Amino acid sequence: MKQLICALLLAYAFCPGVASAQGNADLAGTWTLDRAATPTGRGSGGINGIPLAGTMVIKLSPAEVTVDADTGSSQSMQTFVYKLDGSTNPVPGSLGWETKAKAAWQGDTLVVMTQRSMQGPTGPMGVETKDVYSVAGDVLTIERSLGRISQKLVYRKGASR
Amino acid sequence: MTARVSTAIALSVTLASAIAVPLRAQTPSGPAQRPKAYTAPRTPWGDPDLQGNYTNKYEQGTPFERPDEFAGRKIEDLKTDELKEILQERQDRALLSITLAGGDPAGNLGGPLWWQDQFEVHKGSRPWFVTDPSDGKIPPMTPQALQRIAVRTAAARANRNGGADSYTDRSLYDRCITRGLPGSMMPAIYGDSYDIVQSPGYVAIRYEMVHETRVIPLDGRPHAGGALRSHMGDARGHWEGNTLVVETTNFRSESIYRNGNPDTMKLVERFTRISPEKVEWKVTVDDPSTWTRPWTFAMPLTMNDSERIMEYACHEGNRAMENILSGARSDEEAVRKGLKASTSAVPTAAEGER
Repeated sequence: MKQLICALLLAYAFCPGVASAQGNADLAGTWTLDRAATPTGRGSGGINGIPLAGTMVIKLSPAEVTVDADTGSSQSMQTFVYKLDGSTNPVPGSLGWETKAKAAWQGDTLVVMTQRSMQGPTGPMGVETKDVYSVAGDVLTIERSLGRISQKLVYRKGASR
Repeated sequence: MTARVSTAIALSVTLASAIAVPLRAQTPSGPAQRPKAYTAPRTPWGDPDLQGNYTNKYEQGTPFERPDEFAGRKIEDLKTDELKEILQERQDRALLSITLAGGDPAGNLGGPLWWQDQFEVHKGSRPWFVTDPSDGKIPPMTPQALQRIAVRTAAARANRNGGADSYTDRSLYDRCITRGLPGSMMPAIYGDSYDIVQSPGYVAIRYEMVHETRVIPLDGRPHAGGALRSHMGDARGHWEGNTLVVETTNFRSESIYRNGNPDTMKLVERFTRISPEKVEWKVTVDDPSTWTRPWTFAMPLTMNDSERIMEYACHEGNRAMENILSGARSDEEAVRKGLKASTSAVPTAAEGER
């Protein structure tokens, strides 16, 4: 029995598929927006209206991913806590909107679904965006999509100089 | 597989096929059925009846020209499901833009935004507005027009310091004077209601934004002389079947549409009631000294009695004008004191904001 348990533990530790399901440790750290590689603003074809972080500090734990981002007014810091238990939880958002997010690891990538909803004059209205975080070396790419629109945000490892 | 399972599968497939055929026949993507010709009601004196409260707020956010992503395609190629997706994208973008309306990139400033007309753009009707040429693009300008615009732009630059030396530097829209024609009927962030009223020999169109009214005579009288010009031009109308045709000339240079030539610009509008609640508004821009050929754009006006035109208090609340001018003076003071390298230009709102 002891041998079987050891074998299972070894298989778990060295099987890439199982290990990556736990997340990607490379995502942790401080990331700075590469403005040259990230078209933003009116006419960029991107998704405007979602505050864009210039700097993010990402912390990982088995239960949650915490992102400190300068997305508040006058670039003040806001903390987004994405729980990994499949639940949907409130995160900071713009005035007048109820903003909630749900997150999960899919292999090495973190997928965050954010729902923004508000009471409009004709009833409840909402927008759902999907952010897929992936890391390659010192580059973090966030593929943001909203229906048929998509936008690529590129961050570099480290604080801005 | 047991005989019972095979029979059940066969039955399910048969039932599904039987249900699917009539359902498919009802979906919008099925074979087009020729719509019955709509007969517009008549006024007591016999003209086609266009009267009512209209809005074109559903068309807000529609690109004026064909976006590059649709290169090679025509308006009529984009129907049903694809158009529905395009409209949903437009609605999503419109909702997200509300966040920015307070001027704070984080979206934490600003009050209730229900006065804005951007909550029902998913009910829009088309992917873009330009219908002729069929490539959906405004034709090139003539060399004469390009030269005229260059001279005008250079003169404006020479006379302005950031566009805020005086209230006269600001656009006529900033000054609550006019959005001109056809700018007055282009969808904007609010104020997208219109009211059409008729009497024997006349049609009048009232606009919510800026509260202008055009009174259009139908008696065949000639246009006013060239010396008599106005921001909304001089309109003359007549009926062609069920369509009201309005030809407008005699524009002023300050409010001319898209840098046209007020001496040669002729706008021909066609208002056709195409259903109990819709009037198709089609505008042909004919200015041979500005564009290499006439061109046309179109959109529907939708009848909606809950969208009656409202009060338009613009001058009364135009603190923006004071703030723009006082901000510019303060900017200049900062430069004089060496606190700033140069003053910054203040963008002015264009006619129709497009």
